[in-house]
Amino acid sequence: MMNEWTGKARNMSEWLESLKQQKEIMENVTEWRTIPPREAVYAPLPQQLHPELKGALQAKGIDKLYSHQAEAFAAAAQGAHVVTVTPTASGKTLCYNLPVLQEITNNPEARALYLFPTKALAQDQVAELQQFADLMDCDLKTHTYDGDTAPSIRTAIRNAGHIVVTNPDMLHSAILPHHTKWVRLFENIKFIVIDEVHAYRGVFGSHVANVLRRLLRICQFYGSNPQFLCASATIENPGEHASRLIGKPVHVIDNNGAPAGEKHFIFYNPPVVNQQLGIRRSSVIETKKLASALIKQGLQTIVFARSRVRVELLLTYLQELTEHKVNDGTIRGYRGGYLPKLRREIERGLRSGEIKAVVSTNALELGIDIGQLQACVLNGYPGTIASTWQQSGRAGRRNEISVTFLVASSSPLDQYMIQNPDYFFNRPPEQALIDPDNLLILIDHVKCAAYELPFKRGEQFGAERLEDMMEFLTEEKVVHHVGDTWYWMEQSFPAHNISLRSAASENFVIIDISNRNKVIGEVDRFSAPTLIHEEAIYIHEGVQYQVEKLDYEEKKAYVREVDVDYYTDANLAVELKVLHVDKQKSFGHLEQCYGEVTVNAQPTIFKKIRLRTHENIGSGPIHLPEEELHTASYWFTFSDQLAASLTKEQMQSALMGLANVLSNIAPLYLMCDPFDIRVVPQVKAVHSGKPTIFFYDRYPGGIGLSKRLYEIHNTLLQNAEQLIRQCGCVSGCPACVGPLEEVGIWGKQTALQLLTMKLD
Amino acid sequence: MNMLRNRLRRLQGKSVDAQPANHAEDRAASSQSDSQQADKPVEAQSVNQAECEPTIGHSGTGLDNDTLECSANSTAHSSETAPAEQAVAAGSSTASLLQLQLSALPADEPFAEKWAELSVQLAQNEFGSFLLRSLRACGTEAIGMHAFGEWQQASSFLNAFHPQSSADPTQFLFLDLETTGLGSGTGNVPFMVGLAFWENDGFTVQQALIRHPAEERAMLAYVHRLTARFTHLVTYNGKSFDWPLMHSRYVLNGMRQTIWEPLHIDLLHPSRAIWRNTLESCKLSHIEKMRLGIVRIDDLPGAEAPARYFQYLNSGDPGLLEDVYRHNEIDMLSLVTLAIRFGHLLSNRDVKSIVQQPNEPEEMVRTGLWLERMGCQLYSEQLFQLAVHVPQQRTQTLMLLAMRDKRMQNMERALQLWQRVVDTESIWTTHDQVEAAIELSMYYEHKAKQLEQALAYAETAYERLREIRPGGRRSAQQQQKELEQLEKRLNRLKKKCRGTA
Repeated sequence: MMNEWTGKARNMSEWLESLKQQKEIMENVTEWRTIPPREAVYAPLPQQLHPELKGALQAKGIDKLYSHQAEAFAAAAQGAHVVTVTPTASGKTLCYNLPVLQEITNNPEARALYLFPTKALAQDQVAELQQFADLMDCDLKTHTYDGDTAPSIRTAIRNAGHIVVTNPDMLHSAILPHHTKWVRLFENIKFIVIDEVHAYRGVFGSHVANVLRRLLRICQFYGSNPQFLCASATIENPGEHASRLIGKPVHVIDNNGAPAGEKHFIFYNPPVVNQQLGIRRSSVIETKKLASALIKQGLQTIVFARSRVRVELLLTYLQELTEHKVNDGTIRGYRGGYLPKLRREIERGLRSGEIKAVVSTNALELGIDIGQLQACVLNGYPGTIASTWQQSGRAGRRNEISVTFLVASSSPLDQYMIQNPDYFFNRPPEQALIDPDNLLILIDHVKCAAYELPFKRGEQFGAERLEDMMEFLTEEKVVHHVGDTWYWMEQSFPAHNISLRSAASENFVIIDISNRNKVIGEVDRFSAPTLIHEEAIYIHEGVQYQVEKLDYEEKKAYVREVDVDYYTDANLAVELKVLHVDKQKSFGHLEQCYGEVTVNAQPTIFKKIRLRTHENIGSGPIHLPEEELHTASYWFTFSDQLAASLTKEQMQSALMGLANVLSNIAPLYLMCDPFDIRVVPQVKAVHSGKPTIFFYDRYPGGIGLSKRLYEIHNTLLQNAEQLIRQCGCVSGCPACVGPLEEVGIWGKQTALQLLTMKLD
Repeated sequence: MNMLRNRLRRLQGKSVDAQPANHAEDRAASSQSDSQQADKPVEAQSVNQAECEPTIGHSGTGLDNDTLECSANSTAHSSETAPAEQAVAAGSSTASLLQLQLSALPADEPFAEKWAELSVQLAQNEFGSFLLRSLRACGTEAIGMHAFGEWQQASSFLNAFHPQSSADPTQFLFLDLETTGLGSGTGNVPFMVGLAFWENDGFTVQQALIRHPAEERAMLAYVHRLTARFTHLVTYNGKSFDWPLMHSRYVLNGMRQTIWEPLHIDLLHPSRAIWRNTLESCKLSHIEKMRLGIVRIDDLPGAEAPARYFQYLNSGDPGLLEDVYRHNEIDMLSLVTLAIRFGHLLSNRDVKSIVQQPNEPEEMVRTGLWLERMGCQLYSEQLFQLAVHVPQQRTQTLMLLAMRDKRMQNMERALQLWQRVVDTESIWTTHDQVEAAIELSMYYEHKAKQLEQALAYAETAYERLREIRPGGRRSAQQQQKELEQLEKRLNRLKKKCRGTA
């Protein structure tokens, strides 16, 4: 039983039992699912497995495989391109390592290329392969090849590395443009391993698909025809996605045979503190409460928060737990802006158990090796079902009970999820979407490809006609046409000007002028206008900084450490014009369209919001240049007749309310960052004069998000209607159409009215 | 096509071109002339087809001049700046052995006359065609301080770069590329390959040019065959640029099975060793001006060569390339002159017999150090002596030599040099002075075992160090650390002194 002196339970199940007795917690728990432990499904080691390899596996204590590992081995042996879909910690690396090692032990000339989305993941992988090599006593040369690789060993890796482990960015800018130095690799390449394929989605994924097109073109030049072995987290369309990414049909393996301990999944909805306004207690404060309880129990805990600001807020709150121990480093933050060295240190601390708790953005969602923790608290719904399972999978040691809390925020999406648990538990996770033929992305990579090898008439690269693209590039004077061949003829090195991820090459660095101009972190260009405008409060490792100066040209923000009791939040003003309508449908009073638009966006003001109470205590202007975007959009328009039934003010609140709901539930159907898609309501759209709601992709040319929303238009509106109806508030709240101050007292009613009348 | 253009323009936020049709017509006209060119024997072959099989035999010394069409009459290309240009297209390379046919450009070729004025000939082999310009630089001529004829003698000493080799003057190939871009990426094309070699008492300079990228294969095949007769390659920065790039081009053109592996002499490396601190740049164009007496008039900066070539590609006018030809030609001859200079230095003879001695002490010491590494002790010691006798000089140079003497156990001179450094009077104390005092202190403590002396020098070092204000490359932290180390040394020495007293 519980230790009466310390209040500590002896184990997880005892603690969970005690939790059930705590009324003040349980009245906020809307769902408590127990996912039973899963027995392992085994398969014998394959017959044809090389004896050396068999020996190495046995030395590691593996004398049988999980069923999915065996199936992956068999499919690879038959020459199929394979994608294995498995949750966290299910032995997925063997699914690709076994076929690769089998090939290399049989044929020492064989080569393989491994791609991971980040450097950290690549380093973990090399350590694992090296362990295999040591056990097999074979001369297997595996090495990472990235920005950190010492120049002195690069030549050796190029000539002799059996397995080269790298990332798409390095492949794009360092390996492919210098392929003549990699003859040994490209002539003998048998396998291309792509782990975390679900991470290659949206703009990044669309770029990577093109990098792979270039890679295959070069392999073909050297006469090789490699086989792809991919691994993915659970998403709805792993086969379709992997196949779009690599441009070839794939064999999907999703019968996970790995065992799992019992898992408790608890939905927690912070209590309503103002019924009228529909305001709930802050999810940050509730998350802190639950996480503190877990940490005090001595359970190693991971807390996921959706934004960098939230990570830092929670970290500040949680570190107060250890304050009497003078910040002993057992509770840490983790997010993209931290410098690599610090991140490696935190990962090590988590594996060794020295770090008891970590607060992270989705940066720790990928397969970075931090070991398995015991408990997980999600501050807010992570945005997708796939991410939720991935993050929750960080907790759960084999044969041990684990727990995950999902603490809902008051956003409509969170409230929808927390009130419809079946939706979460029964629905397949989202689709990963990419558009490798986005014209801007495609043409960028056609340039790189032309640099790498001349194009011959009759070649195919993407969906556009090669001849058209070549003629365009000839006019632009970057290629030169002779006979049936187009040659790169320009001084520049195209890959250097093309970044696969918007965040990677265009980061703003954050410089602390109160501490010897030390660089303390980075922010991607996308977030810079709203995160590090002048006077913004930037929080890093729990410390507050005020931005003193933002050098937009040089991409530098100069900050000074401050101690204030507020944080800042910025607004963005958006103008939108329709250029071209590609698709159109109408039903009743509603017309839905898909086409091209231009968007002009400008940050306008920021608000100062008090810590803990989250009240608005002031504001100021932001002076930054306007940005123009030309992109794909999906919009729908209400008829004049329907518009006539509402006053202009009513229509304003109805559209705004509806837009709020839609912007929050749209990510349900798209595996994308909420920043990737935007929703804009207009009472009188410029092109039609009619009430309209626009959705647009936040990337030039679009990456398929709006297109997908156009396709699921009906489902989208049905779910919006259901969410508004089910909400317990009287006339609108942050959990449905938005707070009263924003949408007025008619917001909820008129939004519903629009939705019900649309089909009359 | 214009659709695609307009779509892209829109996405890039540019205004859509109102009259793209004109562009297209221009383009159509020029691509027509491209395809005309391509109809000739040039015909690009698929890059990954058959490997290039060099079938040339040994090129004997007996040159078969008759097999060449000597365009001796077309000598007339103007320019007084480079005497090398007087002799032209000498019957140098045994073209038949290189499976190369040389002829004047056919009269119907656009700009045929202009090509002839530049003494450029059409070269053809089984891979297609390219252009070749050949020049002669006689042994009596020079563009700087050394007559090219000095090569005969100087070249033998260059064997010091590869001690096992014993090449004669004809076995060295000089190479310098003009390329369309920077770096060794696969999209960087060498559009001109400059080559030079010694034969018949003079240098032959050959400049191979491709009229468009489809001619590259034929040019590479020629260079490939030519290289087989040489053992040594001489370049400037060729180890990291020209030669890896050639290597990459061979691979791209499916010729990698038989790539020539020369004994490579990259003159950038010794140039850096010697002139690192005395010249503001170690670019060949700077070294030739400061040390070889070569003056270029109206030279096209190398960085502008690619742009000229692109203009040429669009217009077909060879006049645009005239400056590029001349720039590359002087590069080649300057490289030859520099090689002669290094050959003389390596001859290990008495100082006075060398045409041009290093003139700054720093340069003398660095040259000496380099020669010592190359195994020429006699001359290096003479240079050290010369340097020591220059009265006023930088402490940095004295330290350089002192540390060399310490390493070589020449303590006597090392002590004198350190003392000179310590005694040097200047407005600002230099860090060298601190270091020299520490060296002296160490010597007297450990070697000479004169503790009082050692203590005195350590005190000098400490005082000097305190005079130096941290800044530049040395941080205050570093300074503090050094002061602490010196304090330790002082304490130890004081203790030792007390112990013996």
